[in-house]
Amino acid sequence: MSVDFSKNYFELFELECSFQIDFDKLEKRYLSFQKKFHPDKFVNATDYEKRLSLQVTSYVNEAYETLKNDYLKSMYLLKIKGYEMDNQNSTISDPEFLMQQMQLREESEEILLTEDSKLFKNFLLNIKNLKKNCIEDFERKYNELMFDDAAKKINEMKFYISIENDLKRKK
Amino acid sequence: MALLQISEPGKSQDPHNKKFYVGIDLGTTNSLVALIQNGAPNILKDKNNNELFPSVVNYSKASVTVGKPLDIEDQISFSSIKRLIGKGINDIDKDEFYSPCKYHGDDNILKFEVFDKLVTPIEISSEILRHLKNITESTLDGNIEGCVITVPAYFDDAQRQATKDAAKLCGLNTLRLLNEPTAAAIAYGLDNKEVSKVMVYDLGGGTFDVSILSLDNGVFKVLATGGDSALGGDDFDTLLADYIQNKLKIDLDIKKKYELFMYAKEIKEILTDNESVNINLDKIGIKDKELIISRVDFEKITDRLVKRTLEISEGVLSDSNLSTQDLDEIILVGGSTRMPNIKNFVKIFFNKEPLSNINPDNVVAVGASIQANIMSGNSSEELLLLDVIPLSLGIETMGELVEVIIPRNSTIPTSSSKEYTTFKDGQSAMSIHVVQGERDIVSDCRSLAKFTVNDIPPMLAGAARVRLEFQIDANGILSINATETTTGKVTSVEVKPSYGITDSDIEKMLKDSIDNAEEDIKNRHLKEAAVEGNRVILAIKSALDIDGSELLSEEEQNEISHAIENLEKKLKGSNKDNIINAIKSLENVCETYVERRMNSNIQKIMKGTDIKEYN
Repeated sequence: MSVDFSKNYFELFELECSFQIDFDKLEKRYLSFQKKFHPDKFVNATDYEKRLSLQVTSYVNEAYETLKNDYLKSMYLLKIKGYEMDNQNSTISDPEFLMQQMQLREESEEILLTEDSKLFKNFLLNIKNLKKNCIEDFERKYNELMFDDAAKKINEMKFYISIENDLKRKK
Repeated sequence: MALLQISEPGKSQDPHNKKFYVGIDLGTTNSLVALIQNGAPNILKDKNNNELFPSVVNYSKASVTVGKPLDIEDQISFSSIKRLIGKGINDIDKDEFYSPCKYHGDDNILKFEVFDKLVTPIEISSEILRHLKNITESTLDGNIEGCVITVPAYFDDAQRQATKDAAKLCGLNTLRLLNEPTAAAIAYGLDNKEVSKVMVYDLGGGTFDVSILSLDNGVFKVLATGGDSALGGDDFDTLLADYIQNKLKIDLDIKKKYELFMYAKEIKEILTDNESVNINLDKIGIKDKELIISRVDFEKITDRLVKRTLEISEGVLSDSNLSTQDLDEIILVGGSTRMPNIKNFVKIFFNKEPLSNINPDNVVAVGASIQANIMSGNSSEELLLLDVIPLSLGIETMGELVEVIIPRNSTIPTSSSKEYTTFKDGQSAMSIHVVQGERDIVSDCRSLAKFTVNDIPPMLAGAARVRLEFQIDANGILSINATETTTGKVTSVEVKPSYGITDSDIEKMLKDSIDNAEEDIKNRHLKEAAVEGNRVILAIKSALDIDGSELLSEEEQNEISHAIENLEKKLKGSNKDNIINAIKSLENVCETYVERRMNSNIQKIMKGTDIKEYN
């Protein structure tokens, strides 16, 4: 037995189920949930209520983090449409993108070796732009109901995020 | 607003049973207690007007004392035990921690040989907390009902859990573990700001910590943290003592050297308010040795230490991807920040006047007391502290790699679940290793727990599905559940903390720690059960008053009334188990009601009834 979690993340925050969301509204609803259900407000409550409060806030946090993050939100949108993206099995079949990936990887390794901060900055900026375009592509494909193409864009997004994180970490 | 929660009334009917909610700064060198009295935070003073209680635990054959070591033989004293709490034998850094006795680490749990028994860092820390509890309760003539204990922001799950266990061992109810820099920010009321970035510069007696916090509408995030665990006020004293010794060309034995070190500490403190000081070693029994030291001399001698703290601060700032001009506030914490040149250097370096008007020794405890007061329900102030998990949590996968389950900086509480499958026909158990850290390789992370999922029903390889649910609570402490999903069977999980102790260990320690154990524990359990029983009754009755008739049928209301009557009857007796069972059955009867209330509140939020408050 637990609290009714049948609502999806968008419904939970009373948002339209789309890529563009009203962040102010998200923020306000999020805080009003937290103000009511955070475990700090239940220190004198029964164990069962403590457990429910933990469940509710965990769910709300998960929902909030998903909607705040473009990559997680994209995957979630497809999931609602019945497209489950399995992290482990998502391989990239597009040969063109595969080539581009390999090139970018090589380039990034070379730049890290040269320790040239200007080159590094430019490269990072380039990756960020590619990611931004990719997110825009996703949104367009999603709105056109082309979910297969949208799913491909998510895989690309994942690659850009991973290379960006690697660069930041190794710098 | 809590659902079935009651607010403790500020004044208790029974004057001899006063209840307090306190904040505790459990420090490496000193510890202190603060609480809200008449609406303002106060630091607790003992009979002798002391506020800072040394975090030193002394064992003799006959007794345990906390504070300065007694002048007796055969005594084993532990200082700086905080450096070891929640750690294993391989974590002992001999430069940082000098062990006063033999120790070993079976199963990773550190144990010191103290006369004829073995004690863990958890028990030693617990003695400090017990001491603080005793001082508080005897000074204020009442009981501590709940406490907020501060911990460094970088403390991992094991260290947090160990701190909580230490509190449990001495009978303290921990409402929340609070990050020290967050406590400092609360003390300065920065939680009222909409958005800001804050640096907390904490120079204590033996450690230096820097944290960068981001405050965003009540959400506290630790963006980065760093420091030097072997740099503190003591190093300033040592440099000054060395300087005096060289300047006066004197030879000193160990004992005199220590006296000079203590004298240097005094000189340092005098120089905070005075431009210069006349030194006469007559004070420590050395004739005809005099010297004048000015503040400028002192600052020159210790210059490199201050520069080191600034270098570290700059590094931490850059770790958080921020630059100097992004900082909205800098808070000075720790007694050593009283030295005037610290404030000056920080101000020049970061081009900002640091906040220092709250006593830097007290500021963390003050923040903790404010949080304790809010959580007690005594305060009308609405503070929502949303913490994040400081380090990623993951499990070991094939090839000693880490699969991240909950990434660092996720807002807590949070949960995550993953499904795993068997890889052999008929496999009945699965071994899981939980680690914490940011590295890809298991051995580079910190091991938190190893456990085995047992009783998996025999199936073909890949057919059984074991769902692991990781739950992190608001204190950053992990718990795990395992279910076999094809059969719905909840499998047993034995979580063995890598550096901690299990619940049964705690129970055993509790028993060992009380003389006359049997009788005392029995009474204590009975009393605890009675308090709990009364609390549950009050909570449910006050909830029923609000919406009982709205959410429950008459039959359901009657059922609850019967359960309450039953519990009330059992409370008059003196059988602990009867009381506990009656509480359980009352809570069971109320489950549906609690869920309906919870859901009705979620509905209210979703209908937007609360939104006006924020417009």
